[in-house]
Amino acid sequence: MKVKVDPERCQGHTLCAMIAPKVFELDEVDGHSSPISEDVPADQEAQVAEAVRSCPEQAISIW
Amino acid sequence: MSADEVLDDADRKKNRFHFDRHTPEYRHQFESVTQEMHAKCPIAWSDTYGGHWVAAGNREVFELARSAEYLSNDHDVNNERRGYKGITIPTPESMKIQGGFLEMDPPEQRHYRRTLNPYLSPAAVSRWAPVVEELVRACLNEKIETGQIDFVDDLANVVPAILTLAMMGIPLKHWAIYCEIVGVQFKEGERLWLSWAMANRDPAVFDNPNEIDLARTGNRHHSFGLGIHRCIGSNVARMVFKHMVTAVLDRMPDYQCDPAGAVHYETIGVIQGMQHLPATFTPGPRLGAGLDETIETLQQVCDEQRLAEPVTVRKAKAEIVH
Repeated sequence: MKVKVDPERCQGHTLCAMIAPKVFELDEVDGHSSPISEDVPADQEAQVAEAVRSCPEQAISIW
Repeated sequence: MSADEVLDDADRKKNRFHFDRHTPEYRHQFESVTQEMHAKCPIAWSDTYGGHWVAAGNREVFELARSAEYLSNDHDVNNERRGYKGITIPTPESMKIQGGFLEMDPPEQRHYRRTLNPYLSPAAVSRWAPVVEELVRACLNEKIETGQIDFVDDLANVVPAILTLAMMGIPLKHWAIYCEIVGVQFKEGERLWLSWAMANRDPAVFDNPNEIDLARTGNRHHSFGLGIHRCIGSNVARMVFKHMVTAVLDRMPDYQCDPAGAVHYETIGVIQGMQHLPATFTPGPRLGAGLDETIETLQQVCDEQRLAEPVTVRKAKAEIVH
Protein backbone atom coordinates (compact mmCIF):
# COMPACT_ATOMS: atom_id res chain seq x y z
CA MET A 1 0.00 0.00 0.00
CA LYS A 2 1.21 3.52 -0.78
CA VAL A 3 -0.14 6.72 0.69
CA LYS A 4 -0.03 10.42 -0.05
CA VAL A 5 -1.61 13.55 1.36
CA ASP A 6 -2.73 16.30 -1.01
CA PRO A 7 -1.12 19.44 0.45
CA GLU A 8 -3.70 21.62 -1.35
CA ARG A 9 -6.56 19.88 0.44
CA CYS A 10 -5.04 19.23 3.86
CA GLN A 11 -6.18 21.84 6.39
CA GLY A 12 -4.64 20.36 9.53
CA HIS A 13 -7.64 18.62 11.11
CA THR A 14 -5.10 16.06 12.48
CA LEU A 15 -7.39 13.02 12.45
CA CYS A 16 -4.90 11.01 10.37
CA ALA A 17 -2.12 11.47 12.92
CA MET A 18 -4.51 10.55 15.74
CA ILE A 19 -5.49 7.33 13.96
CA ALA A 20 -2.13 6.32 12.43
CA PRO A 21 0.62 8.23 14.28
CA LYS A 22 3.31 5.90 12.89
CA VAL A 23 2.44 6.86 9.32
CA PHE A 24 1.53 10.57 9.39
CA GLU A 25 3.57 13.40 10.82
CA LEU A 26 2.26 16.89 11.47
CA ASP A 27 4.00 20.16 10.69
CA GLU A 28 5.07 21.86 13.90
CA VAL A 29 3.83 25.27 12.74
CA ASP A 30 0.49 24.62 11.03
CA GLY A 31 -0.36 21.03 11.89
CA HIS A 32 -0.64 19.99 8.22
CA SER A 33 0.03 16.30 7.54
CA SER A 34 2.52 14.40 5.42
CA PRO A 35 3.33 10.68 5.30
CA ILE A 36 6.58 9.70 6.98
CA SER A 37 7.11 7.43 3.98
CA GLU A 38 5.09 6.76 0.84
CA ASP A 39 5.22 3.02 1.62
CA VAL A 40 2.81 1.85 4.31
CA PRO A 41 4.04 -0.98 6.56
CA ALA A 42 1.76 -4.02 6.34
CA ASP A 43 0.72 -3.73 10.00
CA GLN A 44 -0.43 -0.11 9.44
CA GLU A 45 -2.67 -0.72 6.42
CA ALA A 46 -5.91 -0.91 8.40
CA GLN A 47 -5.15 2.31 10.29
CA VAL A 48 -4.25 4.11 7.07
CA ALA A 49 -7.50 2.98 5.44
CA GLU A 50 -9.34 4.33 8.47
CA ALA A 51 -7.40 7.62 8.20
CA VAL A 52 -8.51 7.94 4.56
CA ARG A 53 -12.16 7.54 5.61
CA SER A 54 -11.74 9.95 8.52
CA CYS A 55 -10.19 12.94 6.75
CA PRO A 56 -12.83 15.71 6.62
CA GLU A 57 -11.10 17.23 3.57
CA GLN A 58 -10.73 13.83 1.81
CA ALA A 59 -7.10 14.76 1.30
CA ILE A 60 -5.52 11.30 1.67
CA SER A 61 -5.21 8.76 -1.09
CA ILE A 62 -3.90 5.21 -1.09
CA TRP A 63 -3.07 2.90 -3.92
CA MET B 1 -20.68 29.68 -19.61
CA SER B 2 -22.73 30.85 -22.59
CA ALA B 3 -25.90 32.93 -22.39
CA ASP B 4 -27.92 29.84 -23.39
CA GLU B 5 -26.84 28.02 -20.26
CA VAL B 6 -27.69 30.75 -17.78
CA LEU B 7 -30.91 29.85 -16.01
CA ASP B 8 -33.40 32.44 -14.91
CA ASP B 9 -33.89 33.17 -11.24
CA ALA B 10 -37.03 31.07 -10.86
CA ASP B 11 -35.24 28.07 -12.32
CA ARG B 12 -32.06 28.46 -10.29
CA LYS B 13 -34.04 28.85 -7.10
CA LYS B 14 -36.60 26.14 -7.77
CA ASN B 15 -35.67 24.28 -4.58
CA ARG B 16 -37.02 26.50 -1.85
CA PHE B 17 -37.19 26.04 1.87
CA HIS B 18 -38.37 28.47 4.51
CA PHE B 19 -35.34 28.48 6.78
CA ASP B 20 -35.15 30.63 9.88
CA ARG B 21 -32.48 29.38 12.18
CA HIS B 22 -32.67 32.26 14.66
CA THR B 23 -35.86 30.99 16.27
CA PRO B 24 -36.33 28.67 19.28
CA GLU B 25 -38.37 26.43 16.94
CA TYR B 26 -35.23 25.70 14.94
CA ARG B 27 -33.49 24.31 18.02
CA HIS B 28 -36.49 22.15 18.95
CA GLN B 29 -36.95 20.88 15.40
CA PHE B 30 -33.34 20.69 14.28
CA GLU B 31 -33.36 16.94 13.57
CA SER B 32 -36.64 16.92 11.67
CA VAL B 33 -35.72 20.03 9.66
CA THR B 34 -32.40 18.41 8.80
CA GLN B 35 -34.05 15.17 7.70
CA GLU B 36 -36.53 17.07 5.58
CA MET B 37 -33.86 19.07 3.83
CA HIS B 38 -31.70 15.98 3.25
CA ALA B 39 -34.67 14.20 1.70
CA LYS B 40 -36.12 17.05 -0.38
CA CYS B 41 -33.50 19.68 -1.05
CA PRO B 42 -30.01 19.36 0.38
CA ILE B 43 -29.39 22.78 -1.05
CA ALA B 44 -32.21 25.27 -1.19
CA TRP B 45 -33.00 28.96 -1.51
CA SER B 46 -34.67 30.66 1.45
CA ASP B 47 -36.29 34.07 1.26
CA THR B 48 -35.56 34.82 4.92
CA TYR B 49 -33.07 37.52 5.87
CA GLY B 50 -32.98 39.12 2.46
CA GLY B 51 -32.75 35.79 0.68
CA HIS B 52 -29.90 33.30 0.88
CA TRP B 53 -28.88 29.76 -0.04
CA VAL B 54 -28.83 27.06 2.64
CA ALA B 55 -26.62 24.00 2.21
CA ALA B 56 -27.58 21.06 4.43
CA GLY B 57 -26.34 17.95 2.61
CA ASN B 58 -22.89 16.62 3.42
CA ARG B 59 -21.77 16.42 -0.22
CA GLU B 60 -23.02 19.94 -0.94
CA VAL B 61 -21.38 21.45 2.15
CA PHE B 62 -18.12 19.67 1.36
CA GLU B 63 -17.94 20.82 -2.27
CA LEU B 64 -18.93 24.40 -1.44
CA ALA B 65 -16.57 24.76 1.52
CA ARG B 66 -13.68 23.67 -0.68
CA SER B 67 -14.54 26.07 -3.49
CA ALA B 68 -12.46 28.93 -2.11
CA GLU B 69 -12.12 30.52 -5.54
CA TYR B 70 -15.92 31.06 -5.64
CA LEU B 71 -16.76 31.43 -1.97
CA SER B 72 -15.97 34.70 -0.23
CA ASN B 73 -16.00 35.32 3.51
CA ASP B 74 -15.23 38.99 2.92
CA HIS B 75 -16.96 41.55 5.09
CA ASP B 76 -16.53 44.74 3.07
CA VAL B 77 -17.54 47.17 5.79
CA ASN B 78 -16.63 50.36 3.89
CA ASN B 79 -17.84 49.11 0.50
CA GLU B 80 -14.39 49.29 -1.05
CA ARG B 81 -14.51 45.96 -2.89
CA ARG B 82 -17.73 44.13 -3.77
CA GLY B 83 -19.83 45.09 -0.78
CA TYR B 84 -19.96 41.55 0.58
CA LYS B 85 -21.43 41.22 4.01
CA GLY B 86 -19.31 38.64 5.83
CA ILE B 87 -20.31 35.31 7.28
CA THR B 88 -23.27 36.13 9.50
CA ILE B 89 -26.75 36.08 7.98
CA PRO B 90 -28.36 38.50 8.72
CA THR B 91 -25.46 40.92 8.94
CA PRO B 92 -25.55 42.40 12.45
CA GLU B 93 -26.58 46.04 12.22
CA SER B 94 -24.76 47.13 15.37
CA MET B 95 -21.30 45.74 14.67
CA LYS B 96 -19.99 47.25 11.47
CA ILE B 97 -16.49 45.85 11.70
CA GLN B 98 -14.80 43.00 9.93
CA GLY B 99 -14.94 39.87 12.11
CA GLY B 100 -11.21 39.23 12.09
CA PHE B 101 -9.51 37.10 9.48
CA LEU B 102 -12.49 34.74 9.42
CA GLU B 103 -14.17 37.51 7.40
CA MET B 104 -11.29 37.94 4.98
CA ASP B 105 -10.31 36.16 1.78
CA PRO B 106 -6.85 35.09 0.65
CA PRO B 107 -4.24 36.48 0.24
CA GLU B 108 -4.91 38.72 3.25
CA GLN B 109 -6.54 35.86 5.20
CA ARG B 110 -3.46 33.70 4.72
CA HIS B 111 -1.13 36.31 6.25
CA TYR B 112 -3.10 36.39 9.48
CA ARG B 113 -3.52 32.62 9.57
CA ARG B 114 0.22 32.04 9.10
CA THR B 115 0.99 34.51 11.87
CA LEU B 116 -1.27 32.65 14.29
CA ASN B 117 -0.37 29.08 13.28
CA PRO B 118 2.72 28.75 15.50
CA TYR B 119 0.62 29.50 18.58
CA LEU B 120 -2.17 27.04 17.78
CA SER B 121 -0.63 24.07 15.94
CA PRO B 122 -0.81 20.62 17.56
CA ALA B 123 2.84 20.99 18.65
CA ALA B 124 2.17 24.46 20.08
CA VAL B 125 -0.97 23.37 21.92
CA SER B 126 0.56 20.23 23.43
CA ARG B 127 2.99 22.45 25.36
CA TRP B 128 0.01 23.69 27.37
CA ALA B 129 -1.26 20.24 28.33
CA PRO B 130 0.32 20.26 31.83
CA VAL B 131 -1.25 23.68 32.47
CA VAL B 132 -4.68 22.44 31.38
CA GLU B 133 -4.31 19.33 33.51
CA GLU B 134 -3.64 21.55 36.53
CA LEU B 135 -6.60 23.80 35.79
CA VAL B 136 -8.98 20.87 35.38
CA ARG B 137 -7.69 19.26 38.58
CA ALA B 138 -8.19 22.51 40.50
CA CYS B 139 -11.68 23.11 39.08
CA LEU B 140 -12.81 19.65 40.16
CA ASN B 141 -11.19 20.22 43.54
CA GLU B 142 -13.54 23.14 44.13
CA LYS B 143 -16.56 20.84 43.90
CA ILE B 144 -15.40 17.29 44.52
CA GLU B 145 -16.28 17.17 48.21
CA THR B 146 -19.83 18.50 47.71
CA GLY B 147 -21.18 15.89 45.33
CA GLN B 148 -22.57 18.65 43.09
CA ILE B 149 -21.14 20.40 40.06
CA ASP B 150 -22.32 22.43 37.09
CA PHE B 151 -20.23 21.23 34.16
CA VAL B 152 -20.64 24.59 32.39
CA ASP B 153 -20.23 27.08 35.26
CA ASP B 154 -17.58 25.14 37.16
CA LEU B 155 -15.51 23.51 34.42
CA ALA B 156 -16.25 24.17 30.74
CA ASN B 157 -16.49 27.96 31.13
CA VAL B 158 -13.50 28.24 33.44
CA VAL B 159 -10.68 26.24 31.87
CA PRO B 160 -10.75 27.65 28.32
CA ALA B 161 -11.15 31.21 29.64
CA ILE B 162 -8.04 31.01 31.79
CA LEU B 163 -6.09 29.14 29.15
CA THR B 164 -6.91 31.81 26.58
CA LEU B 165 -5.66 34.56 28.87
CA ALA B 166 -2.46 32.62 29.44
CA MET B 167 -1.93 32.00 25.76
CA MET B 168 -2.26 35.68 24.86
CA GLY B 169 0.58 36.66 27.70
CA ILE B 170 -1.59 38.41 21.33
CA PRO B 171 -5.20 40.12 -4.65
CA LEU B 172 -7.08 41.10 -7.56
CA LYS B 173 -9.64 38.24 -8.03
CA HIS B 174 -11.74 37.44 -11.11
CA TRP B 175 -15.26 36.44 -10.01
CA ALA B 176 -17.50 34.58 -12.43
CA ILE B 177 -20.93 36.24 -12.55
CA TYR B 178 -22.43 32.78 -12.45
CA CYS B 179 -20.77 29.65 -11.25
CA GLU B 180 -22.11 26.17 -10.96
CA ILE B 181 -21.29 23.97 -8.02
CA VAL B 182 -23.18 20.91 -6.72
CA GLY B 183 -25.67 21.19 -9.58
CA VAL B 184 -26.83 24.66 -8.55
CA GLN B 185 -26.21 27.82 -10.47
CA PHE B 186 -25.20 30.60 -8.12
CA LYS B 187 -25.20 34.25 -9.06
CA GLU B 188 -22.36 36.49 -7.98
CA GLY B 189 -23.15 38.35 -4.75
CA GLU B 190 -25.76 35.90 -3.47
CA ARG B 191 -25.32 34.85 0.13
CA LEU B 192 -24.85 31.24 1.18
CA TRP B 193 -25.16 29.61 4.58
CA LEU B 194 -23.26 26.34 5.02
CA SER B 195 -24.67 24.19 7.79
CA TRP B 196 -21.82 22.20 9.34
CA ALA B 197 -24.32 20.75 11.83
CA MET B 198 -26.71 19.49 9.18
CA ALA B 199 -23.87 18.06 7.10
CA ASN B 200 -22.85 16.14 10.22
CA ARG B 201 -26.28 14.40 10.29
CA ASP B 202 -26.19 13.17 6.72
CA PRO B 203 -27.07 9.46 6.69
CA ALA B 204 -25.25 9.07 3.38
CA VAL B 205 -22.01 9.64 5.28
CA PHE B 206 -22.72 8.71 8.89
CA ASP B 207 -24.60 5.62 10.11
CA ASN B 208 -27.25 6.53 12.69
CA PRO B 209 -26.20 10.15 12.43
CA ASN B 210 -28.32 11.40 15.32
CA GLU B 211 -26.75 9.01 17.82
CA ILE B 212 -23.68 9.81 19.82
CA ASP B 213 -21.11 7.03 19.47
CA LEU B 214 -17.80 7.90 21.09
CA ALA B 215 -16.18 4.97 19.29
CA ARG B 216 -17.47 6.08 15.88
CA THR B 217 -15.02 5.33 13.04
CA GLY B 218 -14.63 7.09 9.72
CA ASN B 219 -15.78 10.19 11.60
CA ARG B 220 -14.97 12.94 9.11
CA HIS B 221 -17.28 15.46 10.79
CA HIS B 222 -17.35 19.17 10.03
CA SER B 223 -17.69 20.59 13.53
CA PHE B 224 -14.46 22.48 13.05
CA GLY B 225 -15.48 23.66 9.59
CA LEU B 226 -13.78 22.76 6.33
CA GLY B 227 -11.29 24.35 4.03
CA ILE B 228 -9.06 27.35 4.51
CA HIS B 229 -11.05 28.68 7.47
CA ARG B 230 -10.94 25.39 9.40
CA CYS B 231 -11.22 26.35 13.08
CA ILE B 232 -7.69 27.40 14.00
CA GLY B 233 -8.51 26.62 17.65
CA SER B 234 -9.42 22.98 16.95
CA ASN B 235 -6.26 21.65 18.58
CA VAL B 236 -6.94 23.68 21.74
CA ALA B 237 -10.54 22.41 21.83
CA ARG B 238 -9.48 18.77 21.44
CA MET B 239 -6.73 18.97 24.04
CA VAL B 240 -8.87 20.75 26.65
CA PHE B 241 -11.89 18.48 26.08
CA LYS B 242 -9.78 15.35 26.37
CA HIS B 243 -8.34 16.48 29.69
CA MET B 244 -11.75 17.46 31.04
CA VAL B 245 -13.50 14.24 30.10
CA THR B 246 -10.64 12.10 31.40
CA ALA B 247 -10.54 13.89 34.75
CA VAL B 248 -14.32 13.77 35.20
CA LEU B 249 -14.42 10.05 34.40
CA ASP B 250 -11.48 9.45 36.76
CA ARG B 251 -12.71 11.45 39.75
CA MET B 252 -16.51 11.45 39.47
CA PRO B 253 -17.34 8.41 37.32
CA ASP B 254 -20.89 8.00 38.66
CA TYR B 255 -21.98 11.53 37.75
CA GLN B 256 -25.64 12.00 36.76
CA CYS B 257 -26.67 15.09 34.85
CA ASP B 258 -29.98 16.67 35.85
CA PRO B 259 -32.09 17.18 32.69
CA ALA B 260 -34.52 19.47 34.53
CA GLY B 261 -31.67 21.76 35.54
CA ALA B 262 -30.03 21.89 32.12
CA VAL B 263 -30.32 25.28 30.42
CA HIS B 264 -29.94 25.46 26.66
CA TYR B 265 -29.41 28.61 24.62
CA GLU B 266 -32.78 29.88 23.34
CA THR B 267 -31.62 29.88 19.71
CA ILE B 268 -28.81 28.03 17.95
CA GLY B 269 -28.61 30.00 14.74
CA VAL B 270 -24.87 30.34 15.08
CA ILE B 271 -23.64 27.73 17.55
CA GLN B 272 -25.06 24.97 19.80
CA GLY B 273 -24.19 24.76 23.45
CA MET B 274 -25.50 24.92 26.98
CA GLN B 275 -25.59 27.61 29.61
CA HIS B 276 -25.87 25.34 32.63
CA LEU B 277 -25.51 21.59 33.14
CA PRO B 278 -25.86 20.60 36.80
CA ALA B 279 -24.89 17.11 37.92
CA THR B 280 -24.55 15.09 41.11
CA PHE B 281 -21.95 12.47 41.98
CA THR B 282 -20.48 10.59 44.95
CA PRO B 283 -18.17 13.05 46.73
CA GLY B 284 -14.44 12.38 46.60
CA PRO B 285 -11.17 13.77 47.94
CA ARG B 286 -9.41 16.96 46.88
CA LEU B 287 -6.11 16.42 45.09
CA GLY B 288 -3.55 19.17 45.56
CA ALA B 289 -4.39 22.87 45.70
CA GLY B 290 -7.66 24.68 45.00
CA LEU B 291 -8.32 26.94 42.02
CA ASP B 292 -7.02 30.27 43.37
CA GLU B 293 -3.72 28.84 44.53
CA THR B 294 -3.33 26.80 41.31
CA ILE B 295 -3.88 29.88 39.15
CA GLU B 296 -1.19 31.75 41.10
CA THR B 297 1.25 28.88 40.56
CA LEU B 298 0.36 28.66 36.86
CA GLN B 299 0.82 32.42 36.40
CA GLN B 300 4.37 32.01 37.65
CA VAL B 301 4.92 29.02 35.35
CA CYS B 302 3.66 31.00 32.34
CA ASP B 303 5.89 33.97 33.18
CA GLU B 304 9.06 32.02 34.02
CA GLN B 305 8.77 29.52 31.18
CA ARG B 306 7.49 32.06 28.62
CA LEU B 307 4.78 29.66 27.47
CA ALA B 308 2.98 32.22 25.34
CA GLU B 309 5.86 32.33 22.84
CA PRO B 310 5.16 30.70 19.45
CA VAL B 311 6.23 27.06 19.06
CA THR B 312 8.96 28.10 16.62
CA VAL B 313 10.65 30.02 19.45
CA ARG B 314 9.87 27.81 22.40
CA LYS B 315 9.24 24.12 21.82
CA ALA B 316 9.19 22.32 25.15
CA LYS B 317 6.12 21.32 27.16
CA ALA B 318 5.27 23.34 30.24
CA GLU B 319 6.89 21.95 33.38
CA ILE B 320 4.80 21.96 36.51
CA VAL B 321 6.75 20.99 39.64
CA HIS B 322 4.65 19.63 42.49
